[in-house]
Amino acid sequence: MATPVTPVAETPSQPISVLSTQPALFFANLQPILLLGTVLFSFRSLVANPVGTLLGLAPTVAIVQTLYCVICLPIAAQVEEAGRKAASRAGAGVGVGVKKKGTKTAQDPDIWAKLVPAFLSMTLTLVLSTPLLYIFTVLFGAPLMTHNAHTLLLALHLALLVTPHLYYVHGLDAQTWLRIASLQLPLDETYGLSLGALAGAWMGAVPIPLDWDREWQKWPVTVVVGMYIGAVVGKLLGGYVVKGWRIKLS
Amino acid sequence: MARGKTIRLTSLALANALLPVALLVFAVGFFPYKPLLPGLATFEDDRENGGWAGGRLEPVFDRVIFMVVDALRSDFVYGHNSGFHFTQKYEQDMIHGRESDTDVPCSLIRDGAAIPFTAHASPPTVTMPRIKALTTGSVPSFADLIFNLDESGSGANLATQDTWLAQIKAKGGKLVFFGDDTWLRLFPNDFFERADGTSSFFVSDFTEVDHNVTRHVPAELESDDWSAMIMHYLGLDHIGHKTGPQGPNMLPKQEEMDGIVKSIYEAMESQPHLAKSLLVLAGDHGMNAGGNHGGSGPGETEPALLFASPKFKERKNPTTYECPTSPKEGTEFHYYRKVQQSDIVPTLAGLLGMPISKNSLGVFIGELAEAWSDASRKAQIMYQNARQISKIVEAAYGADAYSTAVEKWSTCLRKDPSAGDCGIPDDQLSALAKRWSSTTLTMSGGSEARHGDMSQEAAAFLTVAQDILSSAASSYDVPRMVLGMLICGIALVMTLVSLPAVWPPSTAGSFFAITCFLYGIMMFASSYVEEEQHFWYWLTPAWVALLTAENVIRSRQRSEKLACFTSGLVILAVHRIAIRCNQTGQKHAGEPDIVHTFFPEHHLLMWLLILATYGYTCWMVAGRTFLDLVPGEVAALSAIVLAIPAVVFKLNFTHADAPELVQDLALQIRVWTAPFSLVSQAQVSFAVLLLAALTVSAMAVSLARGTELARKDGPAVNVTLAERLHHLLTLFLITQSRATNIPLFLGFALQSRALHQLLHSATHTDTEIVPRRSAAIPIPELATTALLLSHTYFFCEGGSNSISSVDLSNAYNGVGDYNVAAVGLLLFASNWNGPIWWCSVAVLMTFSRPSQAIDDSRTKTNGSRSWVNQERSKLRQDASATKPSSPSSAQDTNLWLWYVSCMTAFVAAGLLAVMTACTLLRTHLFIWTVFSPKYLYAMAWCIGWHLLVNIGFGGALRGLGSIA
Repeated sequence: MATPVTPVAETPSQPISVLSTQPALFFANLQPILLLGTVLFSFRSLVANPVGTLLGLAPTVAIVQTLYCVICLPIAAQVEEAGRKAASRAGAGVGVGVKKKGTKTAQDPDIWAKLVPAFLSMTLTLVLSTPLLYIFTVLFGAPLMTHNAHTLLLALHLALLVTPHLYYVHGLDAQTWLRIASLQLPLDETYGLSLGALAGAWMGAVPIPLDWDREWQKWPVTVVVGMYIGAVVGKLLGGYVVKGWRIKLS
Repeated sequence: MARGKTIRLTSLALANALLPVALLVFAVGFFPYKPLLPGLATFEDDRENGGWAGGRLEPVFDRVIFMVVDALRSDFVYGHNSGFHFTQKYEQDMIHGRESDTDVPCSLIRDGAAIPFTAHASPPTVTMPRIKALTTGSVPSFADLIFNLDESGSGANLATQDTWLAQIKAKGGKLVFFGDDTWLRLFPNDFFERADGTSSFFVSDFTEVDHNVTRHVPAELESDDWSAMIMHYLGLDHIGHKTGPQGPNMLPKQEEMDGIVKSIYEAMESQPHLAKSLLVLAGDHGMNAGGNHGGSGPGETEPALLFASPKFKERKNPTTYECPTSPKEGTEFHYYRKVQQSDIVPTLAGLLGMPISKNSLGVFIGELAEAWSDASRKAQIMYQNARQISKIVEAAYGADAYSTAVEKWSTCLRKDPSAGDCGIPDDQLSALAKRWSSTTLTMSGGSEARHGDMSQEAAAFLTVAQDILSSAASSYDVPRMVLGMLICGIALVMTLVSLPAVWPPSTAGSFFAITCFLYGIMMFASSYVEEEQHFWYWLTPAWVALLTAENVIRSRQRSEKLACFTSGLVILAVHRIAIRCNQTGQKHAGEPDIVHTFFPEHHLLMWLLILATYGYTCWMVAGRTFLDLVPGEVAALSAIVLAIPAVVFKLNFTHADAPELVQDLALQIRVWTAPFSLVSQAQVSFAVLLLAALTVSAMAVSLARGTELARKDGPAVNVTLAERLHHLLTLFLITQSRATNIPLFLGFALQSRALHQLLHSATHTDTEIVPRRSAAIPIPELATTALLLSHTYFFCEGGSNSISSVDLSNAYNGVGDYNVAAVGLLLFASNWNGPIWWCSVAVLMTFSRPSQAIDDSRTKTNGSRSWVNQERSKLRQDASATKPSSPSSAQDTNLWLWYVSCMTAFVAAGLLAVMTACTLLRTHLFIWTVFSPKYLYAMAWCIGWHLLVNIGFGGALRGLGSIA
């Protein structure tokens, strides 16, 4: 469906790398284990009581995602900086001296400079992404008249997996978000995590109609599990295997 | 990678020629052909064996009253909430409210005057095959279903076959019939002495259909000239279809049926000429929780079967039955002993003293042998039954093979009756031969004392034989099935050759291939075959999202990006509403949805939407179909003339079919049109449509010829003939769909507009507008979209892979007498109307839209002819000025070829998967209930949708669009 190609020089956006500090590398690798672990450990109660479990898990996931942003990821300003740097490098290294000062501030922001965008990302996830993703899950076939709490919590978890790190590293630039929505960003860990969660949630619906009559086939258990597995797979793929590739539609 | 056009065209034509061949070859191997023994059975046949066993049976009864109540599920008669009070117990108990008083001995079942069973009805559980089973005793296969559509054909005529009715006639008896006119079609030409048929067409009729039967009963009970009276009540089935098994009319209807049983039974007690008569109360099939039937669900296959007669009270050691009672543990509808419906045939033959019908697979129901005082009678009927079935085994396996096997077992068993040394039978034939030789051996030992053994041996043979012969798994022709698959495989390869380029894959091409692949895998999972709609409902949004993203990238301007995004959202939103219109499939079939829950409660809104749909289509017909051909006022008037008869017909038809959807609406219109029959109303609306189509075609072609604008790849004209006809087709399809589905056409219109925006916006911005006829449209994208939407809407409109979901209600619009071709066409148009519509839209998409300039100036001059001519001449100059480069024009002529290649690839791949699934899973439990119906549907999709609609109709429309 998608043909991967190597990055094209003229596009300004670059794949995001995890910060190269020790805690960043550590937590970046811990995050998939935490995400997968939480949902798999609570699988039984998820089947028994989806609403309660999803509600209970949400703060944990939110904390994991916040920590991931704060510890591992560069903030939007740094990303822009990196993008400018790459562009200027492409433009035969003009103005190296001017940039040095800016780099220093951007590379080493204090904790507040990281916590504020992380908090904003989470707020946006809650008030913007969740309703939007709720609408999209319904458009993709989620029940509308029944299971409202189920679907809303599903959308919340989907939003937690898909959007906070994207807000954190890309900010709110409309142009960038258009590129995100139309699959045009180069693949990296964060984008892989988001796309993987979306694809996993979509594929998670497959077992529901099968006539196995298992309790876990009920809405939205398979979708939730699919989205967590998809997120982790997407993150690993995006971070290691296909980093820097671009999805090329037609 | 591009291949020559000739090669592509040839391989595509070959592939499409091979597809029907593959279908036919596979079907011949897959659907078992059961040898039908000709002629009527006689006692003389049996006499060759000599001895008492072959002789004429002493009849216990001389009359039979066969009362069929359509969809009479077992619990309706035997359960605790039944309305059959008399059948269960006497009415006095009910009046005095002593329901729990179980020691009142005078009830039909508890009194021993009636012997109850649950009769297994094998799928397809629809009336006609069930009547066949009840009368011939054979097990109708899915091949019969195909013949049944051809109702006038010989396949459905039972008058010449060996049935218990024919046996009664052969004995010199007379038959009378009242009820469902299906019987009269099955037994035509004065087969019955007196008959009064009732049409079961409008299921909203709960009372008239039954009243029409009941009014004959008292007179017939008085007269004594008949030997069999057959009644078929339809009301209960209609109530089931309308309101489900728990509906408010259900209990009163059961009480009404019980009252008829009561009046018949009392007549049997009091009238001397009815003293030796037998009442059979049977359901032809049951119903599921939603009140429908056709499949193999537990409720559908378990109708009640009850034999009643005052004579049963005189049995020596009668078996007693508790009633009302609960079903067997772990089941919902299994009451008492379960027998096969076909068992009725030998049982009636035995009790009425007739030879058993030749093709019956039934087993005499042992409990009824208690009607004879003499134990040898049971042995006799069992032996005759076994002999008759043995002849079918002979016909099925070949006489030589069977007699050799029987000989082998007989010699062995004669030496050692316990059969210790003879080994274990290793196949079905040998198992049957062993049972049969042991039966004949017991028989030849034939002293009176061994009658019990005899009956047991014969019963053992019969049970085994019935199992093996009914399952018919033995009669697959696997080599032929494999040949069918091979031919289909070749067709698939040919199709791939006909594709212009397979590598490198485009997004749409890959998505299309993945769809084919997943669809193929899905065919092996029975639950996904039953719930196929989920597959399409799941894929479509993903594809729409992908298509939107792709086109957002392609389009340059911000406004266009926004338009693409909005279009995608519109398609998704309409899709989401549409998939909730009809709950289809098996598992959730009865759950609330828009059509069955929302519209009945808001019928006014529904009619407003229907009027809006007609209004919109009318507007399009006026503005598009008649554009430039006639003055605007005439166009508007013509469009209204086209729509009015259709709306009136739909209104009257819906009032007859589902009055709860109409209620008191438009009473005056209905009064005015009351003198005209529904048939003539439909004929009028079709006739004006046809007239309009012919006129428009003629005028458009002559106009095009007159202005010499219609070169194949010439400049875009304002409206192609294809589009003109498309709107007329829409009107036809709207009339052919159920009233509740009509608002979907508004959704269609919205989606197709949005799709137009999506597919065309990007292509227009890239290059400057060249006034060409064909659009520069990416065909794989169009094909994928059309494929997904066609399937989605097939299921949205209530279709599924189950036979019971075929909607017959619009198949007879405007057809007075039965006419195979007309009914077939209307049936297809009503069940596949979404797919047909989307095929037509796909054709339109291949033509470029009229350029902006034309649209703008047209509004200024208000469509006057003189202006049109000026504009056309200007366009002609433009066309001669811009010479389209040759490669792109070659591309254009291949557009439709490419589209057809894509569709053929999907059809061939899907068919191959269905065939493989049917072959590999031929011993699967669900082969007859899930996979065979799927194969029938695959045939319909391939021949009806692909060959006729996509290639035939679509090709014609594309051709017409190129001409004018």
